Parts: sequence; C-alpha cells; structure tokens
Amino acid sequence: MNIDAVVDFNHWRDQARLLLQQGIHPTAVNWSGQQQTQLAFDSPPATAESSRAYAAGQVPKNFIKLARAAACYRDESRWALLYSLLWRLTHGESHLLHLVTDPEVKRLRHMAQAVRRDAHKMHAFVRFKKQQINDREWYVSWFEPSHLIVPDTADFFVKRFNTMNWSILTPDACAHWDQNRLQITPGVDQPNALIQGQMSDDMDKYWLQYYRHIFNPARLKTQAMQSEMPKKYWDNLPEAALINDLANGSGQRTQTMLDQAPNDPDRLRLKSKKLRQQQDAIRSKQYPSNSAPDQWMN
Amino acid sequence: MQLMDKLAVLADAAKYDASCASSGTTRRDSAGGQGIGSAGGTGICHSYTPDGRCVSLLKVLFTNFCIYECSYCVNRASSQVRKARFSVAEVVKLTLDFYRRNYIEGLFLSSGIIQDEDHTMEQLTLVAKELRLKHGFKGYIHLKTIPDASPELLKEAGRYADRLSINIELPTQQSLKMLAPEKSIQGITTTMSRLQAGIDEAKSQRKNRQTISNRRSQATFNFAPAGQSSQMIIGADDSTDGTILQTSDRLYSQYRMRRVYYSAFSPIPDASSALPIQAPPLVREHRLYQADWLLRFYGFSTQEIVPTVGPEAGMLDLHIDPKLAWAIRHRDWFPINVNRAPLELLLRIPGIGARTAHKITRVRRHRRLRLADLQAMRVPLPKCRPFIETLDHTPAASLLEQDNLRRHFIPPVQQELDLFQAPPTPLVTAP
Ligand code: SF4
Repeated sequence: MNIDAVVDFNHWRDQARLLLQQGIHPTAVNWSGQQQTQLAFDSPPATAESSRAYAAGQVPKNFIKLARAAACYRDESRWALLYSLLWRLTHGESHLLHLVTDPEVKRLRHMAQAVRRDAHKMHAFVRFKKQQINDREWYVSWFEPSHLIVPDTADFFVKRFNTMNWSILTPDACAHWDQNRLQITPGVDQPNALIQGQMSDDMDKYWLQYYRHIFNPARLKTQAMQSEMPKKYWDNLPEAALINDLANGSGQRTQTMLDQAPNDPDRLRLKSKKLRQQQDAIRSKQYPSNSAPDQWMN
Repeated sequence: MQLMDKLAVLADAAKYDASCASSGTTRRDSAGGQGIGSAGGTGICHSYTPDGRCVSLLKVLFTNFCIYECSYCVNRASSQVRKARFSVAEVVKLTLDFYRRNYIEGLFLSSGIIQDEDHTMEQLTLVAKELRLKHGFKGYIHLKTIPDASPELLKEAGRYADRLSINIELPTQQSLKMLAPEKSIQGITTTMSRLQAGIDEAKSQRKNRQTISNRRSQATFNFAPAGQSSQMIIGADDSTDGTILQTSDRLYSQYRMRRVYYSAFSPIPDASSALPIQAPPLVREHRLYQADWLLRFYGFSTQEIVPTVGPEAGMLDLHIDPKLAWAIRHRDWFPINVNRAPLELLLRIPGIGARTAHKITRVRRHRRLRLADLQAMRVPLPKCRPFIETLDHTPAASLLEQDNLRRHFIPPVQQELDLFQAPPTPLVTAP
C-alpha cells in the first residue's frame, strides 16, 4: 500500500490509525509514495479525536511525545519508522520504549532529541531586525533550522512576542505574526536584505558592544562555547563576527592586566575623609548576636 | 557619557557574576496582547561568549561607583577603572530593545553601593517596577540585593523580581573581614533570611489560593518565585574546598538556595595588593561545581566528598571528578550490581548520572542489563567498568585492589600542564 506525501504528525497519525484499524502490517506499507519536497500547508484532514484505533492505554503517552518530535526530523524514513513502532507497541510489545538497545527505539529517541535540541536552538538564536514595512514596525528574521520545526516552534514566538509584528523566514517554511493571526507559508531563499550585514538595526551595535564587554578575556574557553553554539549557526548571529578577534586578543589583554602594578586598598581612604567616615560607619555596624548561627563565625 | 560607553563600562563591571539562570519561575506569557515576553520554561541561552559562558540575561551593573572596598572586586572604592551610572530609563530601554530582538531572556541587575544601601536598592527596584508595571514585561528579572537593604525595600523588590540574590562572597567571617571589610556574615545572612521568609510566605499563599480556587479575586502576593541564589569567590582566601562546601551546604539547608555559584577569581584590571598573588586553576571551580551536585542530587555529604585525612585533606582531587575520587577511596562499596542495587547506590557509581540512574531502574523492570545497554544510555564504560556488575560483566577483583587505580583514570601528562596553568597574578570577581 502506498501512502503519499505525509506532511506532518497529525497527518501521519490519521493515516496510521486507518492502517492499524485495517490490520495492515508495516512491511506492507510504502510511506514514500508520492514525494513532496516541501511541507504542505493545508490543514490536515480533520479526523475525530475519539478514534479508538489505538486505545489510550495501549500506546504510552511518551510515545506520542517522542513521535511528535521525531515527525519533524528531516528524513523521509521517519513515517515508516513511526508506524513500525506503533505496530509493535500495539502488538504485544507495549514496554518497547524501555528497550534502550532496540535499533528502532534508539533511532526514535535520537530523532526526537535532535529535533528538540534544534527547536531549543531556534528559540535561542533567532535574531530579529526591526524594519518599517508599509509604515508598520515589523521584526524580521532569517534562520536555517536543521529540521522541519517551523510550524511547531511558532507557538513559542507567538506567546513571547505577541504584541509585535514579526516574520521568521527559513528555507523550509516561514512563520508570520501580525498580532492577530499566525500564518505559515512556504519556505523561501534567503532574501538579499537579510544576509548578515545587509539589513541594519540600530540595536545591533549595542548588542555587539554588550557581547564584547561581557566577555572575560582571562578565561578563554572557545571549545565550551562552540559545543553550545556550533559554527553552523554563526552566519545568522551578528555577534559571531566578533568571536575571532575577541579570542585572539584575549591573551594580550590578560597579560596587560597582569602587568599592571596592584594598588593600595587604602589609597582612597587615606585621601578622602568622607569615604573613610562612610566605610568606618559600615565597618563598625553591630548585628544582634543571634543573627548568624555560630558555625559561620569560625 | 554616551549610552554606548556606559554599556561597555557597566557590562565590564558585571561580568564576574557567574549566575545566568533564567529558569524555574512562574509560567506566563504575553498571549492575549498584554505587555511583552514570556517566562517559566527552561531557561534559554541566547548566545555564548568565547569564555564559554552563556549569555541569557542582560547582565549589567546599575552603577559601578562603590564605597565598599572588597579587594577581589573590580568596582571597589579604590579601583581606578572607568566609572559610570545608568539612569532607570536607560536600563529599561536597553532591556526591552534587546528582548524584542530575541537577544536575551531578561535582565540581571546588580550595583555598586552609592550613598547608602537603601538608596541603591531603591534604584534597582525602580527598574524592575517600571519594566513590569509600565511595560508589562513578562521576561525574567534577577535583582542583586544590597547587603542591609531595609525589609520594606526587599519586599518591594521581591514583588517584581523572579530571583533575588545576595552573594556570600567568601566562606568564613574571617575571610570577609580581611578581604571585604564592609561586609559581614551577619549582614549577609540577615538578608538571606528575609528573602527566605518572603519566598516562603508567597509560596504558602499560592498553595492556599489553589485550594480555595474559587476566590479568584484574592490579590497574589508575589515574591521572587525563582528563589534566591548566591556566589562564592574561589581562591582569594585560603579556605579549603571542605570549608567552601560546608558553607554551601549551610546555604542550601538553612536558606534553601536554588544555586550557589563558584567563581574562581581571574585577573582584573587595576587589582588590589590585598589579594594573593596566585590565581586558582579554573579546574578547581569546575570540581567544586561537580561536588556541589553530589551534595544536592546524589545524597553525598561534604565529609564524604572531600578527603578528611591524608596529605590532600580538605581539598578535591583536581585530576579526577569528585565522585570517582570518592569511589577510589571507598572501594569496599564496590562492585555495585546495576541489576539489583537500589537507586541510592546506583547514584554512587562513577560515570552514572542521576538521569541515567533513574533510567536504569525503569529499564531493568523489563530486562536485565548488559554492558551494551549501558553503552546505549551513553554511560562512559571505561570509567564505570571497574565498579559495576552487569549480566555479562564482573570486574576483575584485582582491579579494585590495585594501589594505582587512581592513575588509571588520569589523562595523559599534557593535560596536567593545562590543569596547573594558572594566570600568575592578582585576580578576581565582583559584587
Ligand atoms: S563586591 Fe559589590 S560591594 Fe564589594 S566593591 Fe564590588 S560592587 Fe562594591
């Protein structure tokens, strides 16, 4: 049996329920019938949630969670994998998800984890640039997620930036919010205006300034940075342009600090009577003796 | 001074505070067209600087003028670094502008102490209040409280902030007296207990409100729903790791801190001669964090984590992690059978984290575990092998009896060099 162009989790679930009801074995299903390279944006066919094809108790909640995430993984084989797992879960292997070494379970967990990580990075690394579009303030971002996560992550941005107009453009799908309605539209090529450095936003300067100065040159740990912020994201992060200079200059800056002669802590106290009085008043402050437990006082 | 310059000076002044947490607060968002922002999920790190630290909050000082003389601090009275001061409106604007571009989760605002304590605290609170009331800001706010600020001001601050904190700075009164003469354990812990009282009160009110849920009109008393945290500077005084961890333990048990941060001091511009010459190796800070986790999530006590006798008494092993070091000192506990041992024992196995330990207890209900199962759970086998029994593995008894078991785990010489490469001079951390 050929199933054509499954577009998202809900769509897969509906198909899977029908197949399960008819008792069709996973090996008899070809999930990659008609391919569509894009996500489709029509809402999936509505089916009653009450479908008893898989009774609630039969499929662990955790499977639904994992499957929802894995459904966004960029790999056409995911639908067949999900159906195979669903079949096994409903045919005598209800504890399947605990078999950590089972290849299919491993694959499912791997996919779900990769998708969650990607979504988390998207929440973190989308950078909006404020523009005037038709006399309205509009916040625009270009992002390149590893997986097909735009529809599922849009909700986060809607809730957080509810009172802004914004668009997140990606090669797979775009999300637009006008403070009223969320629209998901097909993916686009990167607009020239959104290539790093082309579109300006005054705040970028402040952000770069902040990034430069919150960095501590005496503790260089570029590997730790890269494992959390892999290079593949750098193209779309304005601050990434500073990384090399900051890292390269850090040794020199640290040395300069070390070469400076230390100064006398009483330097100002000796000069300023006012400071001396202020400090002495604070130093002689008394606290009720029971205000700190004894063991602190050693 | 231009805003751009102030931002440089006041970020420079704030970078020594290690906290960047933005998780664990009440869930809220701006859906429905009210205000801006959301919070309450897991924290998001929006960027990372080349020092490996995450950038989650706009972390700045309100001002770096300070009348205190904490020798480890870049902002102390005698320091000659450039000084600046924001206005309330400037911090509010920067926070909102950064937030709208998705650079940050919120604000972490701290300050040097100007005029008197209450005046400083008032300014910080005002920023939070404006963000919340005037702009409906739903993002995360962490305010550093000022030692000795009045209870009324703390209460006000707690209403708008997700987290309040006050740094313990150094583990003993003696060290504070020497290096931060305007601070004292009593002053600091007095504030901590006030914060704790506020947090507890708000919590119990929330609980009550849930039980009498039909009385919705009841005003909510909000007080720092993400709790309080603190920070200790490592290596500025001669306290041992044991002393440091004991202090942390007290902070956790007596004031129910969400987190204690450790900040190994590192070179600062214009250092004070009151500081020791040698900076601690960064790995010491790392080991303290690991030990801190053992304390909080693995059922270890400080006496177990830090050796109490021998040449290394009081100090953590820099070469191997503290759980492994403990296991090597307590070989009679091993091998532990992963198929039978209770969770408390699984948590004691080197290389097995809390999450994995829980997973093991779930999986083994259905099947007995082999090494391959552990590998599938990403357990580092070389590390835990000598200490465990599985269906297909029993460690050679001789291994656990070896005198040089510890050496077995120490990475090659070249790494040792890195370990001890510490910047040779004065150094530090801030407010
Ligand atoms: S630690 Fe805080 S109080 Fe002490 S000098 Fe620095 S800014 Fe001032």
